[in-house]
Amino acid sequence: MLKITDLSKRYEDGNLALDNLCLEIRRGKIFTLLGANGAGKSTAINIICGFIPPTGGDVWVDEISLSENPLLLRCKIAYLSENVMLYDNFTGYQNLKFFADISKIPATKGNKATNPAMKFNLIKVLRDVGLQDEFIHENISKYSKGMRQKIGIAIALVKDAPMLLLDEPFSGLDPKASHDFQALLYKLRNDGKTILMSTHDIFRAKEMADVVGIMQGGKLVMTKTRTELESEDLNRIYLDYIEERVVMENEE
Amino acid sequence: MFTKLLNHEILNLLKSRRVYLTVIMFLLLFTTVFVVRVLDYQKQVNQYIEDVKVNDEAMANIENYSHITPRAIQEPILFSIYNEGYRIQRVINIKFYEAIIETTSINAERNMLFFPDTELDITFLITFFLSLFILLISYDSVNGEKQVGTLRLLMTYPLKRQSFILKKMLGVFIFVAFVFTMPYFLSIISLMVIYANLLTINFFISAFFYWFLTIFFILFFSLLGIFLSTCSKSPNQSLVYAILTWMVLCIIIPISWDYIISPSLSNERIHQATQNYHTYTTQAKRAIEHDLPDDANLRLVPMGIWTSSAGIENDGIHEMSLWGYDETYEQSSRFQSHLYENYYPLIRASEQAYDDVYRVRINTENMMNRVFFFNPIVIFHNLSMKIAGNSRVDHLVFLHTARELRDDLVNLGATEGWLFDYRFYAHFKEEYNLGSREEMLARFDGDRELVWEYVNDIEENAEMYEMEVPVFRKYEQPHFTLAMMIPRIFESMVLFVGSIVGLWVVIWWRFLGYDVR
Repeated sequence: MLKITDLSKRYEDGNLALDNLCLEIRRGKIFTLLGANGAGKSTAINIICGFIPPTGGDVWVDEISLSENPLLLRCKIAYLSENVMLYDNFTGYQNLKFFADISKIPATKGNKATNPAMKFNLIKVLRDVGLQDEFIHENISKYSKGMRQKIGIAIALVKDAPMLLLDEPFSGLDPKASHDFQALLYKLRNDGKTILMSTHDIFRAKEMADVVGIMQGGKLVMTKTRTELESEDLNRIYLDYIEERVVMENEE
Repeated sequence: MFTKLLNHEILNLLKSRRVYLTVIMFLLLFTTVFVVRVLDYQKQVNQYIEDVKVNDEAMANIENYSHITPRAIQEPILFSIYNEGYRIQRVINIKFYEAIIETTSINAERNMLFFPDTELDITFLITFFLSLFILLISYDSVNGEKQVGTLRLLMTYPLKRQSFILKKMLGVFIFVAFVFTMPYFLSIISLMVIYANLLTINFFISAFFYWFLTIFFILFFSLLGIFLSTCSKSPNQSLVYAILTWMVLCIIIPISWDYIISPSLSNERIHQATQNYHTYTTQAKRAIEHDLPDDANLRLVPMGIWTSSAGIENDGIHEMSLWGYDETYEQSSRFQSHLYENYYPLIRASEQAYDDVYRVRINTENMMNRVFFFNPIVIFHNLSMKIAGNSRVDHLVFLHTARELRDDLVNLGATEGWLFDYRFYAHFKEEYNLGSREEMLARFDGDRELVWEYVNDIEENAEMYEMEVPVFRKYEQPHFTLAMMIPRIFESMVLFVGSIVGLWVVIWWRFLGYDVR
């Protein structure tokens, strides 16, 4: 489903944010990326989304290459960040409608342009993600963070992309909202969506992930499946890596 | 999909409180300025009617033609509601004996605003306020979305970056163009109602070109705003950039141009033209002084006042005086007749030399403006004056026409004459024998139209009358046709369009490598 090969990113200031990152996620799995700040989690997601160009390597989603067909690759991914970005002058419904309208997959050889979002009943989607009816036509500026998150996931849902990229999605959510959001992600996974999620929350990572990866210095230094982790303490492993990094920095 | 993006962009602008307030403010200002200008125009019309009436009465009561001062009275231009232009002088007194063209300043009140040389008209509203409003609407169009984060989300959709920046530009442009077009066309319709009898096809041509030009102006500033919004990560910072840019374009450059650069403008052509002018005036002055009659009772008699050649202010050098005499009317009259008969070509040449100085100066200023101080505000201002037909060059044309009318009369041997309702009546030497104005009017029971039919009849049937026909000329306001308008504005439009294309290429290039995170 998602394949990353030798992905590198060196910023203009010389900082090497990604160092030949290789990663593969199978369809219908949740992959959680753990790592300290600056480990390269967000950079990887930013490159997959096309926000920044890589300096080397490539990304494939459903056999579509980022370097060869970046526009088509964007049809395959949906993105949700820590702070869901929406147009404050519009209502939740209007935001969803706008992003549904622009979800059109451009025409390719042998395929006509289609818009997968058209098959959704937008109001129903908003109800499904748990938004209360009275807020559907309310301005976004009146929404709580959890409600914005719900609109964000609704936007990702109607895009109908097979791959979801979540950048710190739980940060700042209250326990109830977190619980609801987690349930929603399970449902998506069961529907066959592939999810790549970056987080600092080790417990949630262990709870949710089918595969956990730890990043450090732009590299994926460890991957463990759910079964492997059952008998291990992820918190301990993660802290070991972090401390190791502290030692390495001191040595330098 | 692009249409949906564009609709969304325009809706987003409509829902923004800042934009909403800006638009309300612009509409209020537009209405105020329009009403003030219409009232001002009405004053000019009243003044014009009064001037014509005074002239009429003076002509009707005159007994001795040598006291008559013919006047060329410029009709108020309706389009001056949109651009007042250089119509400071609108009445020209043509004094025969003194070979002087004097001008009378406009009597209607000038509505000054902020700067001494600036008048409150729609052009000022556009250059000063609309430019600011566009920048205030567009300064955060890219980095604002980046700050909120919607730019990142948009970039995960199959949208080309070019589409995004194009929708941003078109959104601001279409929105502002609509906000301007709506009150503008309403104002045109109001004028059609108020001044239905004064409207000509030329007015509509001017109105169309003015609108067209403003649309380019709006496009330029929309692009500038979007460019500034890609220059900084923070909208607050780009707001500062926008205000600074606006201050440089709208305040600093025009003021430094008016008070520093233009007065110190000097080049070989201006120098040469000024030299020619001095040569002619000195020659004329010396020749006349050597020729003073023996009974001259000396006093200072102004010989030529050329400050009337519109636009160049604050320089008193263009005045020629000489010691003559006017102890009695007869003496004065005899002396001035003498000057007129013998020195008219010389005096005329010095007038012409002054006009050349002025023309060279206008050309030099325009060239400097275009090449070294490229500024859309100045270009818009100059172009809109050309469209309204009240630029400095237009005023020069008015002066020239009046002088040429006088030339005709002098060549015909007229020693007295007057201009009335834009037509010259003249009392010529005996061989033409058209009679005095009163004789003419008496012959046709005071009907001026019949007088002119008679005059035209002589012109057309010269052979029948077996006489050399004096050429009568009528002063006509310069009216611009479409064919005349296009070459007028073409050169500056090319620069304008060139700068818009250039700016667009820069934005395009910048945004392709823009960090959307």
